Amino acid sequence: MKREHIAERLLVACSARLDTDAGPQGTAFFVAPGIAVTAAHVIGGVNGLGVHLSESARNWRGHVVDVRPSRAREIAATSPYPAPDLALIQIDEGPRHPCALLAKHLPSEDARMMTRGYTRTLDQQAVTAETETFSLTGTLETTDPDCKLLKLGLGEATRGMSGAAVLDLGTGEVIGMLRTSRKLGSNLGGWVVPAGLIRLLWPEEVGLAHDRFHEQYSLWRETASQLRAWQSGSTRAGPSTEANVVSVINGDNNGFVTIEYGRGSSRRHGSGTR
Amino acid sequence: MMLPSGDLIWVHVQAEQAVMSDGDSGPTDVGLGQRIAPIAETLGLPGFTQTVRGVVTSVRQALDDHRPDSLTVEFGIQIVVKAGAVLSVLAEAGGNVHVTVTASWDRRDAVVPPAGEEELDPK
Repeated sequence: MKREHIAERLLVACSARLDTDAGPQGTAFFVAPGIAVTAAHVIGGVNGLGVHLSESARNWRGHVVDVRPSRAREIAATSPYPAPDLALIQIDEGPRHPCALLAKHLPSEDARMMTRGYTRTLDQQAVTAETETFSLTGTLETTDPDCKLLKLGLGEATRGMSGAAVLDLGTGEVIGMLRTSRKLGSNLGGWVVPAGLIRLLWPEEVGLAHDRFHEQYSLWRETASQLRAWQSGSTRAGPSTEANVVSVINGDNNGFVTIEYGRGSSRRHGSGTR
Repeated sequence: MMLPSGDLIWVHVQAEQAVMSDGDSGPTDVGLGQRIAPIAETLGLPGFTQTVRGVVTSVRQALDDHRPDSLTVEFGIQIVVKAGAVLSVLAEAGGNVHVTVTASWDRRDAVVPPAGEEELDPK
């Protein structure tokens, strides 16, 4: 199994399509039990708005409990949403789910990334999941002193990818949330809100709850360790590594995600929303 | 966004064609929906009440001397994003603003012929 396949399955495990009463709006991902994040512009900056999340056969209902910036007084259709462009969603109803492993450090300069969002690329009527890989190309300071965006290149950020988790292929950690295309229809990539800022803005709802989750369920971290070892070459790439991480399967009977290691062994990995 | 009445409605803002043309734009947020005016509920949709009141008052004043018994005014309201603000203005079609006015009189004050003066059938 290629590392891209493992990365994609990790993204499937933590991501969801986001709909409102007005229809599909973009993507969100789980960062703590019962807590998801998306881009503020995806939910129109409306605090309290009801949302519907879905991934394969799993569905969640929730509502927006915080938006940053909290009061975007400047509205300009031609400009990107003010930084950081984040919204916190509390899940009110739905099955258990795994949570993305958020990176605590900035990625290395030559890091390769993967994201997975819900787009209309296939056709304008259907919304389907789409992955894309990027390279980290730099950073971009914003008017918010706490928010320095990460710049991606060498990949296309497509409409619908706003709110999608961006995963470092070398570490298996989510480095942030995709929010903006640097130029639509091009290979110029996009802007990412760093994971560290998501933790900083909501230290209890995200930071503590996220850490507790990954202390309790170690499988994502173990998978990330495999990817790091693979990246550094300290383990043999190829069949031996591939056998360690066979598959990530979404949604068994209890709503858990099961990550199977090796041949014939498996472990459970998940968390409740309530 | 929130109307002055307190009702919450969704508003899809159609951006200029040049801006929406993929490949011609600079940095663009990549949500699936069109840009939704953020926190417009706090703005109370300025201009909406004034626009409606202005049109209705103007039409009533124009017909004040004729005192219609019923009056119907139809016009369009366009919600636009301009200079960083959400505004409501009279909708234009081809550069013209259309206001349709229907006035009616039930003629209750017209002279009614007294009883017994009905026209008789000719013999």
